[in-house]
Amino acid sequence: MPIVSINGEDSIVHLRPLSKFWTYYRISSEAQVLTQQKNNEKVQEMNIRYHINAAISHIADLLSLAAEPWYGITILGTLDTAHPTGLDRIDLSTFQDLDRFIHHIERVNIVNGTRIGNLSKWDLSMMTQQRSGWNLQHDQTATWTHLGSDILMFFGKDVDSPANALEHSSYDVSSADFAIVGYRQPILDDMLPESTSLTYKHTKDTDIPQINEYIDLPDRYAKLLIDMVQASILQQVNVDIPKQIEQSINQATQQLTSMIDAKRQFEVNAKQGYDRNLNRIQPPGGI
Amino acid sequence: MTIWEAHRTLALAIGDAVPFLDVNGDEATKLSPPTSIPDGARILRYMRDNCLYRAILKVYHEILMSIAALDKETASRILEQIMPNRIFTINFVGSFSNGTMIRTLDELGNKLMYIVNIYTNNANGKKYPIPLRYGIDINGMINSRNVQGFDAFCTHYAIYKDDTEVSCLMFFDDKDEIDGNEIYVRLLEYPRNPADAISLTDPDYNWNMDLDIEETFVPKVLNYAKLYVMQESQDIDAFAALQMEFIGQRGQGGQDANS
Repeated sequence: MPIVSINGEDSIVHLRPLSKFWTYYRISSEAQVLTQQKNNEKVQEMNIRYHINAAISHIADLLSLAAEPWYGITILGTLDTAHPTGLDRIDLSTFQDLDRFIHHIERVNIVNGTRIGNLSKWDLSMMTQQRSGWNLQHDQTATWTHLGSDILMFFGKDVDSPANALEHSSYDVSSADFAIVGYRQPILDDMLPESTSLTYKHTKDTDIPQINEYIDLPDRYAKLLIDMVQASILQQVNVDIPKQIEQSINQATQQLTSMIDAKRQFEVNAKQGYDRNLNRIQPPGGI
Repeated sequence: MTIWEAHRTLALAIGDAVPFLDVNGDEATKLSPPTSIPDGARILRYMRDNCLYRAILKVYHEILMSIAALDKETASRILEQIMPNRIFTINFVGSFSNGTMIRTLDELGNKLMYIVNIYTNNANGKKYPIPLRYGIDINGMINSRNVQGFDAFCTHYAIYKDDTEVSCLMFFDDKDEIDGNEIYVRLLEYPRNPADAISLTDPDYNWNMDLDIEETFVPKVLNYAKLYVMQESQDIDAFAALQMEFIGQRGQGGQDANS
């Protein structure tokens, strides 16, 4: 059982959604009111639920690309058996299909054992190349990359790991715990009928909703979500989307896009700093 | 306007006035309607009944045609505004098997003409509308190639039950949303023929009953009825004059003859 927890929980179903106020039902209701489609003559409730899921996926994607903190997760695990490439690995798919739930991985750390610290992100070809053993400069290096359902890791030939299997080593990571810090995808409406759904309940405002009924999006982005759902509904009924809504959506997504650009620039700068050995303040990250 | 008032007005309008006598031979008044309506000198009571009925149907036809192209939301709103007294509500508890329910409406006094709207009330007291679907739209909604499915919806059509044509509602309930719920249907029935509205044995059904039309449409009904009587009675001169009157009104006001 290489991966043991995600955010300290033993199952992804225990993750809590991000909204404090907005439930799927409330979003759907607000969008119906604003588009005057309360009578479900043209737009079915199920259609709106699909619109909500699509919009949340999109906004969450932008937020995670911008490295906003909301969908950040910490996965704790140990090394699996070696990968066919000869590299060490942690297989994400063995834990509740985690590989399908992850947006991207940012950092990998060793959190206990004889050495504790950050693993550098390398390109896969660099890692396999170093496996040849011609180069002595990386004998004690620990690196990682994300490929499909695996986190692949390269450990220098002085480090004991399942792939290296040394008797004498500078340090041993074969039973060390790794903290994988990354971003997950949002939890979405389960699309089951209201009678059996855990997420979409017709809970009136006179009752307190259950935790699962809240949307997995910070409340500050609810307006953008509602605008997007409105646009989808109007598109569905073949009505022109009001300019105000279009502008509002464009403005909000533009903001997120500039945040993504800023984040990308930050990573580039950090990498350049690392290349010039100026990385004392800011560790390098994946580009 | 009551049926007998309509008869009297129509008879006067076509110049075929006859004294309406009650069983005691006294002239009938509004307060004392007759127990039977006599024939006129030229026009039989039977013809007046039928012309009134045709006129009522004609008015309904015009209303329905004028809203046919509108979306359901607008159409039902207009109908409720212009015919508030002709829209009835029936309610029942939905009982479904295989996600569909066929509900015959043979408890109605007459055949179903138009469904204004439907809503349901579930066990938790939550009400929501049930959309109406027609034609290929229904096939589109039940198309299993669309994974999004559909909210419960309703359509209406006719079947033969014991050799009698009966109006039916068919509910599709893909997600078992409304099984066991109360269902409310707001509808328009077909009007009755005034000739059938009377029952000599049942005091509740007599000539004092209202015509099956919203009161505001009575002038239009009488105008059409007058036209039909003229047409049927071959009263060519009067018929031509009336037609001129219709045409003149159209020409002046752009309106149909409804005053």
